[in-house]
Amino acid sequence: MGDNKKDQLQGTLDLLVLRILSSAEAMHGFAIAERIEQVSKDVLRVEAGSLYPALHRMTEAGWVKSSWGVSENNRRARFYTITAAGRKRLADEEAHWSALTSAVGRVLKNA
Amino acid sequence: MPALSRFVNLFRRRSVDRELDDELTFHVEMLTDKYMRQGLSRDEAVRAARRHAGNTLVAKEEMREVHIMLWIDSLARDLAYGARMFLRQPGTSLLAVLMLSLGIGANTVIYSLLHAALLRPLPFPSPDRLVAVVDNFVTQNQFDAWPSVPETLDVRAASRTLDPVSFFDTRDVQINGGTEPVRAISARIDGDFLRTLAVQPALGRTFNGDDHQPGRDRIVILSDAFWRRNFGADPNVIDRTIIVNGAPHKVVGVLPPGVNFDYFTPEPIELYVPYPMTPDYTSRLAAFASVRRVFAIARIRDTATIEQADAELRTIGQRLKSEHPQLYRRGSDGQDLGFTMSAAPLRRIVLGRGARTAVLLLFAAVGLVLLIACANTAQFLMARAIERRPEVVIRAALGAGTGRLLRQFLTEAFLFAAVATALGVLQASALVGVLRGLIGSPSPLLGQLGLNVSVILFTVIVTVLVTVIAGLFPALHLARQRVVAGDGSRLTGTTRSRTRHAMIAAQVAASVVLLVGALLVATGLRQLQDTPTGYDADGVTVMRLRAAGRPDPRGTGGGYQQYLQALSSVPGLSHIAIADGPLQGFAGTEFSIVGRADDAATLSLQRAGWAIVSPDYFKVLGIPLRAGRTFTDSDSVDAPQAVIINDVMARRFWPDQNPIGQQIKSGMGPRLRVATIVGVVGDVRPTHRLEVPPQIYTSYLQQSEPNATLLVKTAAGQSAPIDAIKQAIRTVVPEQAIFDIRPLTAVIAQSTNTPRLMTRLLGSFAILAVALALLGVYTVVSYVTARRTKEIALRRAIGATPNDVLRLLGVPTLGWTAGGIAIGVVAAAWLMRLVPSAANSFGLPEESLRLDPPTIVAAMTLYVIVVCFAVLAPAARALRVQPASILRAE
Repeated sequence: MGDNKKDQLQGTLDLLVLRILSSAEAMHGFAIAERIEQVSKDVLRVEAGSLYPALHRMTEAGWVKSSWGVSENNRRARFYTITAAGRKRLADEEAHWSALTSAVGRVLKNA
Repeated sequence: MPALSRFVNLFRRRSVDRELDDELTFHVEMLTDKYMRQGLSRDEAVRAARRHAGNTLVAKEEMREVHIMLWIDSLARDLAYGARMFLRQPGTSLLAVLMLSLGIGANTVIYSLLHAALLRPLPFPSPDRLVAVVDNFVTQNQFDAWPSVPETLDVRAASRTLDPVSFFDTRDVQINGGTEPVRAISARIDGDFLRTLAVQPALGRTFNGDDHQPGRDRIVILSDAFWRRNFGADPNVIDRTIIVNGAPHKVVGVLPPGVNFDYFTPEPIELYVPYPMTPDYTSRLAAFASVRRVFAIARIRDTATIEQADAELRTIGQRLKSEHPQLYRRGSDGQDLGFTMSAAPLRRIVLGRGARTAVLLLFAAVGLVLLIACANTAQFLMARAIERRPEVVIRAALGAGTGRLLRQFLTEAFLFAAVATALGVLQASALVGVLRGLIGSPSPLLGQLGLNVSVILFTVIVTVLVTVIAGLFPALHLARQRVVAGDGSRLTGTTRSRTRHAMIAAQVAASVVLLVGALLVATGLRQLQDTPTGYDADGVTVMRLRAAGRPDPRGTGGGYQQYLQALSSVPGLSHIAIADGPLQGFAGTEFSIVGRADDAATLSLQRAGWAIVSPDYFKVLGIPLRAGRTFTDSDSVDAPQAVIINDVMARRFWPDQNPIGQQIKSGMGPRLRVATIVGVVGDVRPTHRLEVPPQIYTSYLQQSEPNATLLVKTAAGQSAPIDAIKQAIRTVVPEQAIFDIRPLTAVIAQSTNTPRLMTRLLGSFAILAVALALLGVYTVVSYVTARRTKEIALRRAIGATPNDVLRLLGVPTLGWTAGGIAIGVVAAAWLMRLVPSAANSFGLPEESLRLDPPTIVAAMTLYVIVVCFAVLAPAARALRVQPASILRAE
C-alpha cells in the first residue's frame, strides 16, 4: 500500500497543511488555503476539492483535530489544530522531503 | 447526559454530511468576501467563487485523469476493490451473479435461435438474390401459396427480372434391392433447379431439357449422404443402377456435401429425379392443374431489384387472371379469389411467418428478462456502494468528478457482468443442445443452431450493455446527489429510495407481463390437451406406406384391400384400417349440397375436413356411429359414390332433417364428385383445434391416393407385431416399404410440440423474471432496513410495536410493488391485442388463447404473497435484534 504517485501528491499537501498548522493556533480551512498561497507567493494554489478531503483524512488519521468555532467575521467555521501525532508525522515528512529534494538537486547539478 | 449523546450518534452519518456542507459553504463565502474586497460586485463575486471552486475541482480531476499510470493504478484498485466487495458477502454476491448469468445465458441461447432462423445466410451463393414465386388469394386470406406448374412456366417465359426460374416438389419413394425395401424422400426437380441454386454436381452431370420428356431413361442424381451410405462414396457410381419404386434408375450425378433444400421435408432429400414435363403436369386442362402445386424458386437478375421482380410478378399475375378467369373464381356467382403473384424473400418462405413471429417474440421476452437482470445488478451495486462506502457519498458530496465515480462503478459492473457472462455462456452451451432436442426439427435452418462466432459476439455486446446500464445508473444517481448537495439542499433518504422503488416497480411490471404471457400460452396448451378428442388413441399404432407395385388403372383401392385381407390373418390385431392420414386435418375442402345454393358466399361457409378411409377406420379409433351405416367393401369403385359425415356437419346443415340419403358434391381436382350420405359418425377434434369442423369421409375403394397410413389396434398393453405386419404386406407386394411406425399417441404429442416448446421457454423466462424481480424487492428492502436499523431500535425503545415497524418498513415497498403488478397486468392486457397474429406462431388455435381471469387473479395473488415475504423477511430480521444492543453499540 501507499508508495505510488497519488499518495505522494497527497503526501505533499499533507506536509504543507501540517507545516502551516504547526506554527499557528487553530485555523479554518479557508485560512489554511490562503496562508499556503500567501507564503508560496501565489505559486501553490490549494483547492477546496483537495484540501477538505485531505483535512478529513488527516483528522481520521489523528494528525489534526477539529472543533467548531466562530470566525474572525463572526461566521460558524471549523477550526483545525495539529496533534502530537501530527507533529511527529510532520517531522517524518519534512525529513523525507529534504532527503528527496537534496537528492533531486544533486542529480540536477551533477548529472 | 449519555442518553442525549446516543441520540446524537444515531444521526451521526447525516450530521457528517451536513457538516461537510457547512464547511464548504463557509469556504465559498470566504472566497466571495475576498473577491468583493478586490472590487467585484456581490453577484459577480458569488459567481466567481462558485466557478473557482467548481473549475478547480474539475481541473484537478482532469489533471489526474491524464496520467495514464494513475489511471491504470486506479483501475487496478477499482478491480481489487470490486473483487473484495464481491467476496465480502459471497453468498449474496453469488446469488446476484447467478441470476444475471441466467439472464445472459437465456439471451445467448435465444439469440443463437434467432441467428440460425433469421440471420444466418442460406447456404447458397448470393442467397439474397433468391426469391420464391408465390400465389396469394386475397379474398381467401391465403398468402405465400405455392404456384401451379403452368403458372410457373408462364412466369419463366414472361419475366425479365428473374432468371433462372425453376421449381420442384418432393415425394416418398422406395428403394429396393437392399435387405428390405426402405423409404427415401425424392425431389422432382426441373432442369434449372440446380442452376438457380448455383450448385454444380460433385460427380456427373445435371439434368438437361431432354431428361424431362416422356419415354426417356429413368435417371437420378444422388445426395452426398445417400452416395456415401449406399455406395461407400464410390467415385465410379455414375451409370450404376438403383431400384426406385420397383424400376431401375441410372445414376447420372452426385451432389456436393452440404447442398440440400430440405426445408419442407421431414427428412433430408436423398434422390433428385427429373420433373415429368408431360401435359398431365404442365397443362391447365389437366385434372390436377390447380391442385398440384410446386415450390417455385428464382434468381433476381443482377440488373433488377426484388421490388422490381415483385412488381413484374404482379403484372404477370394480373395477365394470367384475365387469360384464365375460370381458374381464379369460384361459386356459381363467380366470386373473384383476389389472385395475385409476388416475389417473396426465400428465407421468409422456408422459415414461415409463424416461426418468425415466434422467434422474435422469444427474443423480446428474453430481452425483457435481461433488462430486469440489469436493473437488479444496478440495485445490487448501488446498495453495496452505499452500505459499504460512506466515503463514496462523502467524496460525491465533496465534489469528486463524475468521471471518477462513473469509472469506479463501471469497473465494478464490468467485473460483475464478466463473471456472469462466463457463467452464462457455459449455461448456454449446455442449453443450446437441449433446445435443439426440444425443437426436434430436421430443418436445415435450425439444424445450424449453436454457439458460433456471431452468437459469442452478441453475448459480448450484451455484457457491455449490462456493464453500462448496471454501472451507469448508480454512478449517475450518486452524481446527481452531489449536484443536489452542491446547491445547498439536503441529501435525504427519500429521493434515493423513490428511485429505487420506481425501479423495482418497473421490474415487477415487466415480470408480470412475461408471467401473464406464459400463463396465456400454458392455459392455451392445457385447454388443447384437455379438450376431448372424440377418439381413443390407446393401443393404436400407425405406419405409412406409399403404394408400390404395378399401378392399377382402377386406383389404389384394390391394392390396399389386398393388404387389409393379408393383415386380417396376423394375430394380435383387433382392428385394421387404412386411410390417407392418421387423423383429420384442417377444414380445407369446400362442398356444396345438391339442390341448394352454391354461390361464393354460401360456399365460404361450407368447408369441411376431407378424408379417405377403409371401413374399420371408425372401429380402430373408437369413433361411434350415430346414424346410417359405416363403409363396407361394397362401396367399391363401381358402386354409387358414398360419403359419411360427422355430427357437427349433420346438425349444422340438416338441423331438422335426416341427412342420410342427401347428396353433396366435394373433393378437389379429379376427386370432385357427387356422393350420397350413408352415415353419420361422432365428432373428431383435429389435434390443433378446439372446435370440431364439419368432416367428410370417403371410401378408400372409391378414391385413389398413393400415400397411405395403416392403422392397427392391439389389445390394451400389447405392442403391435411390426415384423408380422411387414411380412403379411410383402406377401402381397414384396417391394412395399413401410415407414414412420409410431404409436398414435406419439403422433398426437408431436402435434403439440411447438406450443409445448413455447410454454416451456416462456415459462422459464417468466419464472426467471419473477425471481429476479423478487430478488430486486428483497435487495431494496434489506438495504433500506439496514440503513434504518438504529432508527428502528430507537422507535422500539420509545414504545413502537413490531407492527408499527413492519408497517413503516414494508408499506412503501408493498405499495410500489402492487403498483408494478397493476401496471404489468394492464400492459399485458394491452399486448394481448397481438394474440390473433401470435396464436399461429405458438402452434395454438386462436380461440384457446383467452386470458382466464381466475388464473390471472390466482397468479397475481400468489405473486403478492411472495412479494410480502420478500419485503417482510428483512424487516422481520431487523425486529429480532434487541433495541438495547444497537443503541449501546453506538
